[in-house]
Amino acid sequence: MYKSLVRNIFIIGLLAIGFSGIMQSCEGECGELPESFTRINFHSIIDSVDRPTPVDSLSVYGLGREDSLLYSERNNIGFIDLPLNGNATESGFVMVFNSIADTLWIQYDVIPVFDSPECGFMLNFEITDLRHTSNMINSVVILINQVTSFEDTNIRIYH
Amino acid sequence: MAQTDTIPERVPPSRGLRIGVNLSRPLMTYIEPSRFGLEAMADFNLGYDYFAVAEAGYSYREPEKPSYQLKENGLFIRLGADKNFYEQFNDVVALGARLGFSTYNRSAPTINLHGNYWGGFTGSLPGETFFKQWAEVVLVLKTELFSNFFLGWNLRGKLLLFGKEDRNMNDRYIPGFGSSDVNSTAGFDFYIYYRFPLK
Repeated sequence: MYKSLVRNIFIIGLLAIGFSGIMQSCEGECGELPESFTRINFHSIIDSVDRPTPVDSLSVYGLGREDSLLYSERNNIGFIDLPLNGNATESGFVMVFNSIADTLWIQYDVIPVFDSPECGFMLNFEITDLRHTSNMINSVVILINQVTSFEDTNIRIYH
Repeated sequence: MAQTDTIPERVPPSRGLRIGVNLSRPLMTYIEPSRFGLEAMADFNLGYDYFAVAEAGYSYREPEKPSYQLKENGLFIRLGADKNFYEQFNDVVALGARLGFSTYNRSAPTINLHGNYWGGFTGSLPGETFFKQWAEVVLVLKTELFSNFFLGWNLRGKLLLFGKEDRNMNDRYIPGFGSSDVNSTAGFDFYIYYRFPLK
């Protein structure tokens, strides 16, 4: 009796766990992988107080991509999301604040990240340095240098 | 009249070195052709209830799609002990603990991603070697089909302990541990064993 009890437990467990293992291992379909953007918000120092300060009118395009605007005369904009170039370690962006232009260069490491066998790789980035012109931009600060799809604010521009 | 109670003497289980082969690893290759593994184990009973256990093997995962090629392969060993809670025949119903160790290599020879604003991405990940350690609790069941031949399965809960992080992998594959995007996972293994009896 004991012998058959162990064998029954053995067979039932084997079938149940084996079946669930097979079900889990079957590949599912991949949805669209999210893209990683550099999020930049805008602040000003007003009366010695650091305040979020939306830009009245802003256009943005990639340096060398004048034909393709990322933002076109957007009004009262508090933050922007910029895509980085995966085939380079620096991307430049021209920002036109009420017809006054500045350029921001973002330097970074490119980090391919394997998400799953179904979806494959996506790109994350790690910001290493910033440069900018100073027509409207007073200064820039790196807040979080990991650029992922989690919508963290990476850079703050003071204008 | 005085009555004498006699406690039946517990018969020690027959001793022996049991060698096993994990059948679930080659079997899983039929379901997931990109994964393959070989694993052997040995246990030896220490006293009535305890077994010293060693499990070792090699495994790889090499998924491939038009957008990428990934290669991960390496060796692993798990060392630990089982405590048997079943006292009939030579069958085993046991709880065990293991410490697992794996050294493995990961590379991605090709990565091609669709374009964003700046165009597509073409790149690769060079080969990199990792060493990981983890702990396991194991539910073990073995039944003797006929003299010294056993079938058995293990159900494992695994917790990653130490090792260099791989920032390129959300979904890690560690030989002997499995694939997971978090620090814990579960596993199931199916074995066939032969025990070399000791006199």
